[in-house]
Amino acid sequence: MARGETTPTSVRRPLGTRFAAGLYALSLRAYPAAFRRDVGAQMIETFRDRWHGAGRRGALSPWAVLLGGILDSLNNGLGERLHPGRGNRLPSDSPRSPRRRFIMGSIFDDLKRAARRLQRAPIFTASVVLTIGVGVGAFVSIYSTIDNVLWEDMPYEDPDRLAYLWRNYTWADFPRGWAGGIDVLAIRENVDSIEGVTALRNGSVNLSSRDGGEPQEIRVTLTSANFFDLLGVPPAMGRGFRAGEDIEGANLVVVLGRDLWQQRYGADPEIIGRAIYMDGEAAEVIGVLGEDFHFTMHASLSAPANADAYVNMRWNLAEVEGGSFAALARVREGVSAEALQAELDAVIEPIDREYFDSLGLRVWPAFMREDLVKDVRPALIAIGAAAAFMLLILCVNLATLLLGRATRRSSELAVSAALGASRWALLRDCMSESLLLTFSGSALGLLLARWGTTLIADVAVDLPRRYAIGIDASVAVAALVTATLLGIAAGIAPAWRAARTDMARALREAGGRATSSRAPGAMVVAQVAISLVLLVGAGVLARSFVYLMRSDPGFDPDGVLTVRLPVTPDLYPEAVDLMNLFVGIRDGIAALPGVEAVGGVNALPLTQETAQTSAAFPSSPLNSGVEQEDTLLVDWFTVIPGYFDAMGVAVLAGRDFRGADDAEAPRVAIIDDTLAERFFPGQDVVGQTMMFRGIPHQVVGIIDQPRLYDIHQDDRSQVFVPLAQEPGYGTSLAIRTRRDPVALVPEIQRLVHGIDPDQPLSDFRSMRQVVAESLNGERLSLGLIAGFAAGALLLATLGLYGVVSNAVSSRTREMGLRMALGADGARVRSMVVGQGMRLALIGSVVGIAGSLATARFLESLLVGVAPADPLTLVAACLGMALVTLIACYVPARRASSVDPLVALRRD
Amino acid sequence: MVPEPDHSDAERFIPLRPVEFHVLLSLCREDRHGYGIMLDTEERTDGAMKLQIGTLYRALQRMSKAGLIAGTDRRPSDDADDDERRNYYTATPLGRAVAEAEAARLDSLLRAARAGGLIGLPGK
Repeated sequence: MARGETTPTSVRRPLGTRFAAGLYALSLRAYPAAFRRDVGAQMIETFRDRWHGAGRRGALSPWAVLLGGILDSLNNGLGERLHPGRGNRLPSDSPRSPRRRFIMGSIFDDLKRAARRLQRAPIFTASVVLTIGVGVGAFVSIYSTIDNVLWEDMPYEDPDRLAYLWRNYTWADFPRGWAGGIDVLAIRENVDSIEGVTALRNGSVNLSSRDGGEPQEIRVTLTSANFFDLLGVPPAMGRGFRAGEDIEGANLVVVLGRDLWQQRYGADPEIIGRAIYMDGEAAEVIGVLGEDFHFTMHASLSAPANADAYVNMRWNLAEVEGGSFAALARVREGVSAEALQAELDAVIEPIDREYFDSLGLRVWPAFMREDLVKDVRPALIAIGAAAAFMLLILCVNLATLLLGRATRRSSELAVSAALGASRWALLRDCMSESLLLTFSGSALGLLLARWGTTLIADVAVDLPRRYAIGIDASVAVAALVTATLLGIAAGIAPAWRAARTDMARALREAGGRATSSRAPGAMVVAQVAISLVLLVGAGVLARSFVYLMRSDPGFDPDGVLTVRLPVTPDLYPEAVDLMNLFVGIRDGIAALPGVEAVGGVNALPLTQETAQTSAAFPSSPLNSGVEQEDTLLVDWFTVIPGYFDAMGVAVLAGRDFRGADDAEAPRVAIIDDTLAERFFPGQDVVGQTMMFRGIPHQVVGIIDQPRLYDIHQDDRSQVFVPLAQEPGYGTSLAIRTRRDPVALVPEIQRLVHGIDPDQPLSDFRSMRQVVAESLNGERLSLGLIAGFAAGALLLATLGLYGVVSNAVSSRTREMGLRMALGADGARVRSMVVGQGMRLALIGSVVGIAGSLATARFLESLLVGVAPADPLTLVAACLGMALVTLIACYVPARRASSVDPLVALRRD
Repeated sequence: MVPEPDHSDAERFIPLRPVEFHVLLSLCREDRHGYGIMLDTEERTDGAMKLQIGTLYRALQRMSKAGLIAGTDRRPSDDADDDERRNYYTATPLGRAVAEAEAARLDSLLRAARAGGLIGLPGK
């Protein structure tokens, strides 16, 4: 439990403190140097004390202290500069002259005045606060996620020294295979660079109703005894495995995961020492894991998986020479990658020689963190980049808004300056306004980020280490600092200008004549360019997604219901009984109204869950005679006949399995088209003999490959054999129906429990759902990036509209003059539109260049579309042009409808 | 050595600013560091007087220069989180005299206010 209390806050607070103290130290620059020299260090020390003191009162109070501290520094620092050696008098101290009050009024008065001013400009205020809010919210949510998923510490002791060891079958082009038991033993005994290694294997068992719960299938991880010691995370209750519990013949013991303990056993504190029944065998509960225990077992080919409970592995590792385990190792401190690899090579070489004829078996380490996030890394980086792009536009918009505000206020400020307001007073005046805006926006942003991170954690079900997602303190501070600096910068510029410009000119300009400036034009160009990059990115991702949705998965997912049917082996020790159970259930379901076909398979398409083995065709014309070259690693499946019909898998040649293909009949197999093409290109394979798991099988049919891994392609060929000839206990049923698949669920439950009341059924899912879930990651990336692109486009449009309409209104006189001289409305309109379009065109050219430059970052995320897809580029440019046209046309219409007389009279 | 203060010396500093008065009140009882003064003041006034760091240190600087307070190496023995890095302050005899004079001034004002019926019973 002690661990649970120490993790997130105490790890993060020092970082927050460092940031906050650094920021506060920065704010002390407001004081004169001599003052800082005398007491600066003490003030920082005192700030730390206050920060920590506030931390005890709640999570947000330290930030209030920081905010107050910075405002205090500005207030007192400026005061000390103006009047060294005098303090701020409290307002009640002595009455002040109006002028003194203007200069010396406390910053809180300034803030109050600023708030009143902003209230009078609600649209400006709302748009700035919203812009900052959305920006900070997006920034904090996205970067917190990236930070937590990619970098935040994993909840193990020294996680960067944990690595999985994989077999590389160099001759078979299979670099990531499970380790063998003999590898684990050899490494445990002979590799000095490794402190410990544990063998892991995932499986599923049925919990029987003898412990009082419903029959239930759970996922378990089988581990060596040193597993919890290796991670450095002991169970919260009870104990971990002891040495000697991981040998053949040991009693089954189990460490329950938190969720299982709470959900099935009602968080029973007395559970340690009790027996639960796993696949009919009694297992003593020896421990319960803590709330913060998170472990995901990485896999050779399939997706990483979590377990509900951990049980001791009772195998004699010395007897397992083939690849069967994930080997998790803790590398000794300070060992170089080369030294580790050299030692592994030396230890594996004898195994290679003895069992693999020195074909070149190797074992290599994959460090845990990189391994787990390597698949999502490109997507996260692309999303992060998209967010950064949108933020850039947002900053540009913000700058435009604030500069516009400053221009509008310039005459007011010039008057103040002329009446004797010092530069400091003007600065405080402007600064208080922009700081007020920034802080309100940031507060809104943090609120949005809270929702944002929760939303991401809910939606991104495929993201590893999802449990770690939450607002990250350092990211939040970074966002706040950026926002504050932006606010300060936006406040300084107008005040500076006001203090320097001569009043007469400022007042004249405020009358409405244009100052020629390239800044707004440049901002529009930047915005258009950035939005275009985002649009193109979102466009190609969308095309890729559509491609995936439309790609033929090799089966027909519509109208198919699937359910897992895990059978407890002890209840059906004989293969005949097992087959009778399956056939009974299948035929029962087939007789339900609306059901068209029923069958079963050990692993459904897109679930990545089957095993691999090797297949060879002795009669293939392509055989070279070298055994290793003529065998192929394939995914293999066991089938209850009817499956191909139910799943809508096309039988291209030969026949489907039938009931007569049983244990007594000759061995038969059905292979997919890729395997047929590999060994018998262009020839008929039906009737050929395949050596499969060392036994000759007759190929009776060829099917169109149903995808197991990705919807668009599988690298490995597939072999199907009848379950009756290769009995196994875990199977899933596929049911094709004319009715709503969900409506069948209760009928199927009734039917199965009528046959065996203790038989668990789990994972009722329609095949459509399975397909949709397999695209979760793609959908999330696409959704986020499209969202950013849409946001960017909107912001860019608003920016463009603002710039063009500003230009139009400042040239009203000129327009009037032109029209008075005979220009018609259309001409004026086209002039204004042309001006805006010119900016958009330059922006588009820059944007296209940017898209081409950034294309390669998206490459790994795309399927069936090139990153610099010309169609998408053209479409994005056209879309951009249309939007710019609208943004320019509205102010252009206004310009052309000006009454020349009014325009000319106006001043 | 600091000369023994006389009454007229203390009068020069009257009236004190509230911050300065509170700092002296805190330091008359024991030596404290900056944060200690802030906590003590807040506690003494039931949270009504919250000193800002800048305001406090400007006052400390001013009062050091005026000789009302001084930095000290002595550490109060009962300070649990005593720390080498911290600078402690102590009230000088002059500072004590000034604080007393200010208190006397405030007291006479307060009595006048009560006599005039402006405020009620003592204690509030």
